[in-house]
Amino acid sequence: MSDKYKNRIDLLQGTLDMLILKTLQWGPQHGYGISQAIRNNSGEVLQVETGSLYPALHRLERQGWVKSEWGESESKQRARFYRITASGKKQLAANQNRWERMVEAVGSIMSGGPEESAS
Amino acid sequence: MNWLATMRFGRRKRELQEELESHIGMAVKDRMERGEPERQAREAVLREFGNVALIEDVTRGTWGWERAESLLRDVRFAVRQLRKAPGFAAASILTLAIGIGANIAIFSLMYSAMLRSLPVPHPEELVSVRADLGEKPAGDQGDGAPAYQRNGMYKALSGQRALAGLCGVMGSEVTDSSGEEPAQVNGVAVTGDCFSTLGVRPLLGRLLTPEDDTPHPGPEGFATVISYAWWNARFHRDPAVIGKRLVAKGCFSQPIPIVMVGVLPSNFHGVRAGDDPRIYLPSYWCGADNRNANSSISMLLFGRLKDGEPVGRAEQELQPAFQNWLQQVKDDNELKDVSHAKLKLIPDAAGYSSLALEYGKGLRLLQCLVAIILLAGCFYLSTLFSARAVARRREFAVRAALGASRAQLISQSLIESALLVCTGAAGGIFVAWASARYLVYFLANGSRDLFLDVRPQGWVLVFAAAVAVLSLVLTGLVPAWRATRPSVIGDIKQSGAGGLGAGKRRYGLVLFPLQVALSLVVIVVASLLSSSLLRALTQESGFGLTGRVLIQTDIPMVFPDKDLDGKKLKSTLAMYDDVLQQLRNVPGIQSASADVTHPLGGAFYGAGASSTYRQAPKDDFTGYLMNWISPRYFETAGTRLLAGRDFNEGDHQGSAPVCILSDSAARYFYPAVSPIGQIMSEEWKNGLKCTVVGVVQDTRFRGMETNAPMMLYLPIGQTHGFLNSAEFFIRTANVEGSVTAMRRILRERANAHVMDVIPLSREVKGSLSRTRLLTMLSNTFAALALLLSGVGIFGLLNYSVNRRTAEIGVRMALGASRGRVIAMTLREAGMLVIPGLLPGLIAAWVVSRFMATLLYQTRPFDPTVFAVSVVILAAVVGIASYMPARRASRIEPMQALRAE
Repeated sequence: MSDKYKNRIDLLQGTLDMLILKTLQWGPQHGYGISQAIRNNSGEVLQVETGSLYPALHRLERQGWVKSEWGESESKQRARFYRITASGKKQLAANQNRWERMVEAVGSIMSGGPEESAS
Repeated sequence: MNWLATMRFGRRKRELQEELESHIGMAVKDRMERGEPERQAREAVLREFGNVALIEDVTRGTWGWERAESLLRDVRFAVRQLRKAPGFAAASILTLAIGIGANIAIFSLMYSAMLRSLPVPHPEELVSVRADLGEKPAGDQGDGAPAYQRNGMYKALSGQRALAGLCGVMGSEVTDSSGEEPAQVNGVAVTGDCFSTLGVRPLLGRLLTPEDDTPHPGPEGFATVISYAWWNARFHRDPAVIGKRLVAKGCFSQPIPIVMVGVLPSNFHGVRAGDDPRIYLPSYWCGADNRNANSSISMLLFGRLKDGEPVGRAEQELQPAFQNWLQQVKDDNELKDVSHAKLKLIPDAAGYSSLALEYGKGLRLLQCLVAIILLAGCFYLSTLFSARAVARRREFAVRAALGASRAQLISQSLIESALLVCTGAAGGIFVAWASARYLVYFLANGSRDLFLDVRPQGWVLVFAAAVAVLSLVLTGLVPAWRATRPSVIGDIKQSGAGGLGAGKRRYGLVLFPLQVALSLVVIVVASLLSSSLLRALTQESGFGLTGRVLIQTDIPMVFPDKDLDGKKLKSTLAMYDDVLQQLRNVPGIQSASADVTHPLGGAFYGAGASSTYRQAPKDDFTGYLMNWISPRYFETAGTRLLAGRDFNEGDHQGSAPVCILSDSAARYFYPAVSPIGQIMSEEWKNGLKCTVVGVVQDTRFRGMETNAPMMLYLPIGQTHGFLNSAEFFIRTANVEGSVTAMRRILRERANAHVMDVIPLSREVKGSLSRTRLLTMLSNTFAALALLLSGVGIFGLLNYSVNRRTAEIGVRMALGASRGRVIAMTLREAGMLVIPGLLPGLIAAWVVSRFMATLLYQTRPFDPTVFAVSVVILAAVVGIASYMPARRASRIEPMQALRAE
């Protein structure tokens, strides 16, 4: 049963991590805020499932890329806030770089002929 | 540790729930702000959110706790499995508890007797200071007294700057005579710089300083420091003890005032392992003569190296002072050849240990035996575990098919053995704690006031952990490794019941002979020691034991320099005579005498004896011993008179000096003629010449396991102005009544008290305590080894018979007789036992060579003992094998075939 979620995490893993780190660059945020921000900034295209979000957040914390602490939300509610760490920023830069190369590569395959895809 | 982790896990779990709840709360609020009613908003959010519990689960998965959780599951599973096989579990835990426990117990004994550092700062800087004549002196009996070390050495070396400090220690029996009844207290006399050299700090008051160590103390008496234990026992930890005065008797039985100035910390037990002195006096308390005597060997020397200075350099710097002193001593005509003499500094952080000298070899032998036992136990368990792992091969195969890695399978099957080993080790620590105290009690038989801290702590626990890990590897890892071999798992597909029998048997075929070999070593060692003890006990010792009791009193000794006119000696001798007369009238007392020392009670070495034919080897301390005795001493002891007469009342100060020789002395000094009537010369004190009037049987005077020395007996009535600590020696039918009578007689006739009552049998026990301990333990271990061998072969054969039921059935159906089936099974047993015999005998031979010095009149390689050991082992194994063999012969062919 848990495989269902695990599979989605696997599919999304690298990308979701990158999106979370990117979102946290603007400042500390709680889980709900992160999911809202991703949704809003993607023009409502990307919907982050909570079943993927929290495992991802806890994994990022374990890897030391984000840190968390309890705080109060804008609506005066107790919530757990996540903050990006220095090593998280490095990871984000690396991820972003790779992501851009990937987009470029995929893009060139999708738009061009087979001889151009060699490399 | 474990519950702490569980608590942390619980807290994080709650926090995660809270975090998800807050997410839901915020989402609901957002929707409500957009105008949805609360109920609808909540439902929508939960729908969107999904399965909360599952999300929690998956998120928790990222924490890395899953393995811990699954480990816990495996442990629970293993516990359940073991509960289903209580016999197996109990056998394994018991074997391990005894094996590991014995190892810890012996190690803790060895550790506290010879390895533990003194509780002082930088114990590694401490050195023993010894005089070494460059060759093993003949007089060194291994009893620790370096033959050529004299008290005078302290004075010669103490002014030197090569060491940061030098400390001289002398054992002293002190009598605390301030109470109602005088009490013997284990004391020690130390030089003034001892405590500063060691670096001990007082718990209370102050410790002794060089100013305290003077022949002429103040009016209050000698300054004294007491141990924590005595402070606790005698003074109930009263701080007001400082400044309190006591009267002590020691050395010359003279009352000496002492004043207590300090209490030592509770962890300080002196500098001699096994000893825990209660009272520390300045070294001058017995007089300057004794302290600085070049004839006395009672002082041990310790030094502390200067910070960072190598031992070799300090040794070299001290050499001139030592050689200088040695030349003076040599001029006193005490030593002959000093050309190779050297001062030695021996790093000695653990302090002086006479126990190490006496028991070191024995303890090492025991450590070796217990290691062998544990090894044999592990091999036995390994076979058991292997059978169990093989029984679970289907389960392993299924798991492997489902994708479990081999490491996972091994770790799972290791959990079960780890559980058993851990429980066994915990039991072992308990066994060690209980038995080590008993062992110390046993050792104390020989020496009073034996103190050894054998609680399992510190390095002993580290040792225990190491032993447990080793046991786990030996018992658990190999079977787990074998049971999970891919080829084994592959086998399952092909066969049913008997498929792995071959593998299992092969394993037993290797391990069981090893077990046999190890057991044989233990049995041989036990037999050698038993034979040695038996010989020591049964061979003619030259004295009897029943009813023989020594009574020590506080009648003062007499010294010539304090008794120039000899009056004191005369009156004291008369007092002894009077008490003896009274004693002989006491009902129950069969014989009464007085002596200076008794068999096994300590030896007086002569200064040099000669007859007209031969001279006793002068440097040879073991050459002959002396004793001063009253008439009827031999009758009391039960030593037979071989020729001539006993001393009688006529042998007194005024009559012609006489003496009696032991048989071996008579043969040595008078090889060809009858010794009776011949003249012996003895250089003791100012020298004396005596007429030999009798020859008595040889006695094993120095020890039950030491051959009888040559003896020269002199009448106590003719002693030369010197009367040492004489004692009474009686043979009685009623020990208690006689001692009561003795107390009364002493009080009435001599105004003295009974200080100690020593049955001669206790001296015998004490003299044999090492051998008795070694024999008792090695026999226990041998019994254990036999049990393990018996049970082991029984299990293996039983298994084999089960596996071959069908085959045996067929054989019998085809006409094999019962006898042939039994013979076949026993042959199988032989295959398991015989390959182990030769390696076992070779190993036993190696070990026995090491223990040669522990044996009395028993050769290390005694063919009879070795043969008997093999027979014992064969008998046990034979009986254990016969049962499965008989069962095999009772197999009904029809039933066996039907089962197939």
